[in-house]
Amino acid sequence: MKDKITTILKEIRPEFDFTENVNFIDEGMLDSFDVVTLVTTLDKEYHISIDGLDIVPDNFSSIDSIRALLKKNGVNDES
Amino acid sequence: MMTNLKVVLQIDEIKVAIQSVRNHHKSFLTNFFPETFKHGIWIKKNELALIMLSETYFLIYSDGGFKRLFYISSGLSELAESLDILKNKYPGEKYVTDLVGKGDMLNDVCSVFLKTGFTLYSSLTRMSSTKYPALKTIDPSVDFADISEVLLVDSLFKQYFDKYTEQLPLIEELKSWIEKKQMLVYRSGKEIGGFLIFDKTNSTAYLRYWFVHPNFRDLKIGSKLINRFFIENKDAIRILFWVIETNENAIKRYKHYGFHTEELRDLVLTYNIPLNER
Repeated sequence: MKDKITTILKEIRPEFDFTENVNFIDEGMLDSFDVVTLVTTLDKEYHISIDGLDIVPDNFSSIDSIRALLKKNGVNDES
Repeated sequence: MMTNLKVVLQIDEIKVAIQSVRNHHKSFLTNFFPETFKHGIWIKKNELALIMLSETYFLIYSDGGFKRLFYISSGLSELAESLDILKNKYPGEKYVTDLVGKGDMLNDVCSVFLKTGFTLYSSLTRMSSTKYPALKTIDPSVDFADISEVLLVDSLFKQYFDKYTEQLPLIEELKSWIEKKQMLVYRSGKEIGGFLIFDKTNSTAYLRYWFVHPNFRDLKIGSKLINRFFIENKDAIRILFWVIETNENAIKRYKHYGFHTEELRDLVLTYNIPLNER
């Protein structure tokens, strides 16, 4: 799952290294438009519908937080 | 006057609106991208309102003689239906809306608005770069703005900026940029010959506004400001800004500096705003 998330992020913002241990939002690597794009992409990729109340910066600030959000939506770690 | 609008008192109300739209399990279309500071001020001042029409929530901000319109909708046809309801419910209202996106989805949303009676007012494209031109030395006439200059800068915005294309900043935003040392000015005596305002994080520098006073043209003030901007953000991985698509000279100049146009576009549409008011 981690590799897939990184690939998706790289497609949205190819100029950044999402393997770094930083907060993607605070660092300006993802802006609010990118977050909306990411939500739509994750919904399509994993056939889920991320809860609107979960569309908050904290849930997209790192690979781990995105992974946690996907698991919350029933996505298997091997996906 | 628009009745039956609910004033937004907390940002959570917008999250609930988003959730409500997503509960339809269709698409998710929006042009509302939260900016914590700015939208927090709108909410604090009770200037942001919310209305649900069919499967679309509209957020409406009163912006000096017109309404800035934002939508959160479950699909194109739903958005079209809701816009018709809005138009009929509040005839005579003047709207400006920004559609931000790429490719076919952006064009499809734009078509919906055009069919409702909106008119394309301007279009912008985002440009960015990950490498910067060689830095020159700092010009001493370019410095960070002082808080005492906030009203002067505000008056320049009101006098020279297009209020429909640009979302003119609030005084609170101007003060914040000054305090964070993210507003540069070119001073000539007591006058401001130009300014440049930016947002920055460790990775990204976002050039928000870049202005040269008409009385100070041909003095290379623009270059001096941008040079200082590059110096202040030399550690940024990416620099980005929006430019009007018809400004071919500017785009050519930015490409010369190493910037490239992204796919992201911002289409500014208006409704009920006569030509002589534009």
